[in-house]
Amino acid sequence: MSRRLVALLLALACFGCGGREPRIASTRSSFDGSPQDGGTLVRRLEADVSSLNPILASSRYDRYVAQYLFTPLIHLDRNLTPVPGLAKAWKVSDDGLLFRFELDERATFSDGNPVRAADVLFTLQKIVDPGSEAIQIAPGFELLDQARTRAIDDRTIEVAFRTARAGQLTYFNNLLVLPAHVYSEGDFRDDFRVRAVGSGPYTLAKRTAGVEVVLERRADYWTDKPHIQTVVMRVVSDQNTAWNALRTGEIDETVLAPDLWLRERNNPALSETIEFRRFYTRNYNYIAWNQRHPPLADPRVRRALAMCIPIEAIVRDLYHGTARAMSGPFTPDEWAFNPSVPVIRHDLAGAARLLATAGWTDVDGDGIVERDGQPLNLELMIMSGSTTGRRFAEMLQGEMKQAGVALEISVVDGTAAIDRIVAGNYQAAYLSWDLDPDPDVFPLFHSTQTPPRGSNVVRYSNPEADRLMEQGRSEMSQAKRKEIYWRLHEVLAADQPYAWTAQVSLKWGINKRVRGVAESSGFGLFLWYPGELAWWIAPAGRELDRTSP
Amino acid sequence: MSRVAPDAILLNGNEPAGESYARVSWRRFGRNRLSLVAVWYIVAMAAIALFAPFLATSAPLLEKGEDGWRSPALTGRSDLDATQRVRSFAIHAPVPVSPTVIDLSVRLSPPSWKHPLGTDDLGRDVLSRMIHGARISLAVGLLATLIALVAGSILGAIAGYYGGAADWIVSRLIEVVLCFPFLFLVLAIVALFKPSIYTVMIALGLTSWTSEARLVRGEFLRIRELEFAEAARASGAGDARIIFRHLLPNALAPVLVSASFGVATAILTESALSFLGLGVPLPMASWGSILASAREHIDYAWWLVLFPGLAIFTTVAAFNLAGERLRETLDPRSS
Amino acid sequence: MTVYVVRRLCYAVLTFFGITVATFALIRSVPGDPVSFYIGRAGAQTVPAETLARIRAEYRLDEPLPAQYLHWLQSAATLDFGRSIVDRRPVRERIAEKLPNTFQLNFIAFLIAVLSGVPIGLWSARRAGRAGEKVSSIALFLLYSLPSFWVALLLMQLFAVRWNLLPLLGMTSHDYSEMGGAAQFADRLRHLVLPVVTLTYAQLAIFARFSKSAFSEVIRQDYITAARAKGAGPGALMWRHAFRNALMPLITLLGLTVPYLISGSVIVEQMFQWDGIGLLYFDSILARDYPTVMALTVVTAIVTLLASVAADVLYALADPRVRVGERR
Repeated sequence: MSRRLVALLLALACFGCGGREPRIASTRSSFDGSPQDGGTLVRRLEADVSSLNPILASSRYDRYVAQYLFTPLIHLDRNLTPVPGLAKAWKVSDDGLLFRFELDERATFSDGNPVRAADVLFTLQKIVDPGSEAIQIAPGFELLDQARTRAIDDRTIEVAFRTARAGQLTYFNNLLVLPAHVYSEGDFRDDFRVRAVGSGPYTLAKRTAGVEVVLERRADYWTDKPHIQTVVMRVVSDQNTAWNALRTGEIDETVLAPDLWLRERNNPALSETIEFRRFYTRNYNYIAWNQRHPPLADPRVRRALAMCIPIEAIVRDLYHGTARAMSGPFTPDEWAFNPSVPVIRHDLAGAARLLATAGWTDVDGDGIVERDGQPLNLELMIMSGSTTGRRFAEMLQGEMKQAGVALEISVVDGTAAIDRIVAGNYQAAYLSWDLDPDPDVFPLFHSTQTPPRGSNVVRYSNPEADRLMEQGRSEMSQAKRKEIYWRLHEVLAADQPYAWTAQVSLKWGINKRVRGVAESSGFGLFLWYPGELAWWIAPAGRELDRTSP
Repeated sequence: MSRVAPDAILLNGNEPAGESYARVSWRRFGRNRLSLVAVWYIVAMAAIALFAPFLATSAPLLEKGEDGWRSPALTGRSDLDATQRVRSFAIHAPVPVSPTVIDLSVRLSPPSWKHPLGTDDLGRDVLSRMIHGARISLAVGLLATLIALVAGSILGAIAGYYGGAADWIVSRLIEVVLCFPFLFLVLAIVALFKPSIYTVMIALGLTSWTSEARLVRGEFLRIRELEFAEAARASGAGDARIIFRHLLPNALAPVLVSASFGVATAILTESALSFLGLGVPLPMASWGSILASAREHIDYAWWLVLFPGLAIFTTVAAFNLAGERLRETLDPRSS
Repeated sequence: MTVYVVRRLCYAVLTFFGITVATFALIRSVPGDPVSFYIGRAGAQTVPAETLARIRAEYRLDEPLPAQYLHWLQSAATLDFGRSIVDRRPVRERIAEKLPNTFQLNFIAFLIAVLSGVPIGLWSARRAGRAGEKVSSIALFLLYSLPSFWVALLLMQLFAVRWNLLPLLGMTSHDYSEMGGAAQFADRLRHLVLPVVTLTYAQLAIFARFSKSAFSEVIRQDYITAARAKGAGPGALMWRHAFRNALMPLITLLGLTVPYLISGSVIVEQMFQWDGIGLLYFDSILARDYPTVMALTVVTAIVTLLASVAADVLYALADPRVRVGERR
């Protein structure tokens, strides 16, 4: 799902992420330990919500709010395995083309109307209608066979696809069902930006654009009620401001910069009030090499450049071990990850040798290698506002210089950068992806997927990889899929269409009055089930000591 | 500020014969000690900026290698070479670290003997970066102001000298630029062109010429009817000659004052731009970009906040004080 | 006089068109457009070609620029500024809800700056040359030279984090809606302190310095000397004669301050998360939100031009020496 290469826009790239170490579960020994109802949770939004219409959700922040207001057809649990949501049961045909969902008969929208098959059908139609501009969600349903998709009865719906896709079921997690009787009236794109009617456990109490979204718990929620009475989502875009607000108790949770997390996590003055957590999500950073740029078309050059990345030092000193070097397109938590593929080591001498075999040597003695009289100058684009990007680029610049490569850093604002990437008008760019639960990398590396058709921003093309990606997305046998993706991992690692850098663990600070916090493998704190819906607030009295001097 | 007797005499008009206007002005200027301090501070900063490559570099200033004496700092050999070469004797720069030398193992260290102003988030020496940052900040400040000065003077001169349609057009142009949200203009220019120190200079220069233009125009309106302009015209001098040889020098005094304030503003704006991440390209350091890198560590790395902030503040204050004093000095009505 | 005002207004209208044309040309020449914004938002997902075509059509990106401008002008004339690309809300609504926030912040800062800056200037002008005045004028200079983002960082660090005296950011606390009237007022006030201080200090220095020189100028004028010779006391002299005359250059300054206020708001609003138009302007440029950028340009241009026309007219009214059509 889309979830977003928000990094492109927000330069989140840096916070990264971290291994599973469920340090503390919700069992702490104050009170009697049992969850309490009530209280107000103040969450942080790094950017304002652009729409409350969940079908138009375009950032993770839109989705954060939607998670409270709507219920998806299926939830993903802690391990990102499908579990019942609005659908209490489902059946997939053997050919993977037909999905039959049975709706929970208790389910109601916040206006009291029951959730019916017609509502699901309506929502699906809205998702695939190009006029909706459901840019984040629509691609998950691009293979939908609308003619054969139908309501079997009031509570049963059959969804048909033209082509089977192995990871299809997980995309139903994005199907946040809308009440047709509300959303069919008025302008679908414009009239539901600031109001919402859903079947989720909360209703919208207040929305102040640019400031906050306030949600109140539904008294008549149809399944397990969450504990927290009021959820305030506050827009705090600045990282330092958010940290300070967390300390003063103005917000209850925020992502933290790695340095800050590392420095403060053992600060005794904060140990009473703030809990520090870290975990890995399906997010990684990489350098995109535009393979239309002649010097970068040679995989040896790309590999040599990757050898200039001081990855060990980055992981050790920049992230203090809270990041992992990547060897290819999959993260170590995924089943598609092939553990036998080695990470490319930092080796400047080796890089120089490899460049020499590719024909790049320093003929004129100016310290920069040349081929046919052309020096190897590269422009690396980084996003303005990205601290990690800046740090990484400056470090790489020094390393590459020693291997005879002149790296020029361009700081470009997000929109201009995308413009250049889509047009192929760049040489190298430091980017990051936030990936779907299913390891289908077809849109990223298939030769047909160059922008604007897909996200093959590097213009990579390899017939074997193409074939593996085609097989991988349609193969239904999990064992065979694993084999395919393990091979794909090897092929991509050998070709180096990206220089994969690091998967950085996300660091979080949470006020200790918030209890019941847990992480999933891949999604972090939010958007899985029950995730944030299981949180509760420790009763007042304890609240007094949350403001530190 | 105590007044010294000879100055008092000077003031009363008993100027020693033959002393030039510039000399008198300088002496009047110097009567205020604080402004003298400001001027010397600017001179010192300029010297630091000018000699930055020799004040803060990993390359030895002078060394004796196998093949005799040489100066790696002067010949601009790469820093890596310098540290790896075998040498028997070497004189190092006062700050023996280049501003781009990265050492992750000492990142974010507080001030110490080895790093008097601490290190930044890549372990680079802050003092070294600030010395080189002075180069960027001053260069941007001075050149942006120069651009503004030249553009403003020419447009103002044209408007003031020819009047009529030319004046009308320039006046409208000034109005448009004045009413234009300045930051937008800068953002657009920075986004349009390849990010470089020159882009920043041009962006700042193109947005700040209006006050100079207005001043020159006003002065020209005033003095073009005066005797010496008439005389020049009578002797058959061309327009360009009259403007540049006769009128412009006479209008220069107020413009210089405005330029002095302009430098201060440009330095402030450059640092604000760098602070917003839109300033000089990497890995160059300007004071604003060091401050920006401190943003993430502000509650901890106080040295990253304090020193560059102080540098910006004191330099801007020095230019402002000097400008103010210059204004007082050149203003015949003020005492 | 009427002729002067009318001419001045005509010029303002001309300038206004100049500004909109320049903004229009600039924002469209910057690389990236709403389409790239959408693609960036979609991340690893692919935006269907039909959707991109719809966006291009909706924002008329395929038409020649002059046609686009004329179309914009046509709708703008009916005060229809279109919908924002970022959140598809009517641009008018987005600006209307943020304008009061910026106005509130700037108005208070401006008021404090004028009300304290002008008397300081007056006082300095009267005591020119004395020790106290010199110290104060140096202090004002130093204030004026302080980078606002640095001051904001230090203020936040000290008052909000270290001493926990004032709220760090935002316009209200999260429990604002549950407060009583008086508590709400106090809460708003507390949130205003730091941003207002940040905005005020430099302006205060400007106004003090400017009014000092304006007053000094007037004091030297012949008629003041004459009034003094007639036996007018120093207090009466200052107020009755000098003040009125010194007001003129001040009025001009006030007119010129407006665009600086708008630019200055960007940093302050960003740092304090103040939800005003400065922040909106910055974000809209980054998002290539053409409709919002154009509408904001119109708003700021109108405010600026009105201020400058008003200043000129007042100037002309107050000073008969200004010959019609000569100035500016």
